Amino acid sequence: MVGTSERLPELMYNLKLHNGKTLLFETSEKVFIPTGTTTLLLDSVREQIGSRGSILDIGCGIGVVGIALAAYGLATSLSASDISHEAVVLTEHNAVSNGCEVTARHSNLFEAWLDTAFDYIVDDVSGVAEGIAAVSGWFKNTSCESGYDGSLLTKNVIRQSHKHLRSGGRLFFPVISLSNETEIIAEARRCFEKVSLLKQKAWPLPDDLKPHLALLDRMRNEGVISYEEKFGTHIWTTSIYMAHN
Amino acid sequence: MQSLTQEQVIMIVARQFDDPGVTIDADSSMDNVADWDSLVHLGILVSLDVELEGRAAAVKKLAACRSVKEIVSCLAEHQLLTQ
Ligand SMILES: C[S@@+](CC[C@H](N)C(=O)[O-])C[C@H]1O[C@@H](n2cnc3c(N)ncnc32)[C@H](O)[C@@H]1O
Repeated sequence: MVGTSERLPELMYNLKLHNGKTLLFETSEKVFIPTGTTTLLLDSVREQIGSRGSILDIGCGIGVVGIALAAYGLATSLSASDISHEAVVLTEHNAVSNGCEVTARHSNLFEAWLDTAFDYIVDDVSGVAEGIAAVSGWFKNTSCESGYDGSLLTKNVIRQSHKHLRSGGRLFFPVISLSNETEIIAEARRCFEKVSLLKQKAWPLPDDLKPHLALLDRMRNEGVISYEEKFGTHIWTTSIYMAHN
Repeated sequence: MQSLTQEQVIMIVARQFDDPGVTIDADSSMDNVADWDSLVHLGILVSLDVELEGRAAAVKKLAACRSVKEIVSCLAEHQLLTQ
């Protein structure tokens, strides 16, 4: 476990909540820096959770989604895990500094939650096609062993989620169009009776990826990823899904 | 949808702002709505295109529109607005 002294305190991420509160998160160069997908996922889950319940934030990074849901008063208990030790340490730290309680564990997917079930699982494990992730700048110090088409980890979470969901529980997950959305949704439909799209947002291709259009084009032609050329730019999307029985 | 009304355009623009404090009306523009940045703008264009079943992307001038008024008149010029 990485000690507190090894953290780099100068990087902060701040999040304005809909209730006017602002949460401050410490981050570092060793972990994933929250993106628009983070806030889209948070907003989608916040709008869907009708009653408070136990929440697992899996692939929590620095803990933004889970801690914010707790700050909205939606968590009877908050658990969070990530394959990155640094992320887990920062999640613990950020929970304390934002006045919320968390059980944070280092874990490869559900390994540290074998006998535990939750009302809500919010998945955000890395889900971009590996070749694209490698050149994207999003995953500089973050594990993204999501396979050639980017669907591997998300499909694993979907497959294992039913064992970790209480009756009536819900799984939330983002799907990045720079991964195999069709495969992921097919897996979700195999494992759950109901799968619905909650929100979708379009993004322009980041500068880091522009020199790699040949790779993107090839993967799009293979049917592995999708993006569109429109309005003078290349547009990819994040879609937030909810699955339950 | 074959075309949109001005009210529908305003609703589409408003939907792009996560902040309920932001109000959009016929006079809203990138100059008087602080949160209307390039990302929000792209979201507006994509949503218009979805609502208009792919016809908005063919309107080259639309990407340069900076206000509700400009969007509305640009759609009108291309027969994509219901008066
Ligand atoms: C896209 S980031 C999202 C982080 C955070 N939810 C956020 O929005 O800032 C994906 C996270 O999944 C974690 N991750 C990658 N592979 C994992 C695995 N096998 N098990 C658990 N977490 C994993 C990464 O370390 C990273 O923190």
